[in-house]
Amino acid sequence: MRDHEVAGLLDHAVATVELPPDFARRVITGSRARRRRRLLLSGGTVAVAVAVGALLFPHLGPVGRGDGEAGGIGPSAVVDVPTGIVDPDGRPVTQAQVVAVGRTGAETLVLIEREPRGEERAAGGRAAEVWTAPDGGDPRRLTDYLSYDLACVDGDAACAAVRATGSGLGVAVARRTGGRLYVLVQAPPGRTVEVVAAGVPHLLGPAPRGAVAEVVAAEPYDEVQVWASTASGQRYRIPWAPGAVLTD
Amino acid sequence: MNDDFGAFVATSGPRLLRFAVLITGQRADAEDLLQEVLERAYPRWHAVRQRQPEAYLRRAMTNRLVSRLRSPWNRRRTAGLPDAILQQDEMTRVDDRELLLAALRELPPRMRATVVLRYWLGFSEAEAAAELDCSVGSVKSQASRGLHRLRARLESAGVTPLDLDLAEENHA
Repeated sequence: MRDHEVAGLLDHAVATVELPPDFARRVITGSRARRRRRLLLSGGTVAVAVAVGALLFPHLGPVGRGDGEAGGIGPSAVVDVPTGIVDPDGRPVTQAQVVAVGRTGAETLVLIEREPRGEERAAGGRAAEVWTAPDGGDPRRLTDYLSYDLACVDGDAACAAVRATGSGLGVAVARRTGGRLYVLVQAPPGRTVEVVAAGVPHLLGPAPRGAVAEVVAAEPYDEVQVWASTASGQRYRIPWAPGAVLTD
Repeated sequence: MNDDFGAFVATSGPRLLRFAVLITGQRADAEDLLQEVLERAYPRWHAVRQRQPEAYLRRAMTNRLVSRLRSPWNRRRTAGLPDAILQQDEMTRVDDRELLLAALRELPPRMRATVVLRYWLGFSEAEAAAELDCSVGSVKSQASRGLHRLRARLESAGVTPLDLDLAEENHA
């Protein structure tokens, strides 16, 4: 292969790559959120917030519970999928394509099934798009590719055992909007899910169509863990995928 | 500042995203990577603007990629992927661009970045060495081995450059 042939190959590989619409705006809002978090951290107020959260959260409970307990917005299974969301082929999304749906503040967050990449599918992975539909606004896609069911956290034997059955692990996304942080979790039927944020547990119960918890954490990747339990008592971590933390 | 930054992203963003796709080998990871370095650059945009921002951001992405690939998540994630790229019969079912990216993903990150800098951006060995903060000798060996491995992977998949319609595409 000569130099120009390599250049041609690489060119070809990225010939169709285009910047997503509104990318600059996404960067600017992300940057501002990042700055707010840094300020929060440098002021030491995170420690206070966590302490206050630890005191308050047992009383407040999660925002949405898969089992419909009081204290939240009710079972996320009854959250309607907003109109205007389309699948990767541009057709209105059907209920069967919805992986998870839940209320995250003044918006509805929806995960739509999409075709995983070949090598991820071969490894048992799945993929989803993430959409947000603000109340009174048009839905927009937050990310066009989110991997899940692809891998376990290192050393999580229960996860490896569940994954080996091919039944799927579940998926979680964190959504920071309006100054609050929400976690939308989905796990296959027959399992219960729990979100632990900065040491504070939020039991969500069954979440076959997704359930939402509002949590307090500065860095979700590091401070928030999502757990699922099978009917037989196996408890495993649902890992965060790259891009699973979605910020305004 | 927003207007200037927005104009920069609109004009240089596509090139930077393509670079990110090549050094990560994945579209979704590339968007994350580019967004991350732009988010970090935005508050210091006035300063970044003065010093070849595209080159600065390219370098930031390369450095970030290497550190990210050392993270526990990546080790978990790659552990779940098959070791070899898709076999011939599977490959025929997927887009050849994805096949090329899969071949790139087979290279270690620094080797991948070296190949992209040398052959896609046309950097000299000295320029690539400065960009990657390594010796010229290291660039030479990484580029040579990277090319050899890329060729072997593509040949094993039955792909040669002539199989691809390259004529209509322009170098970014």
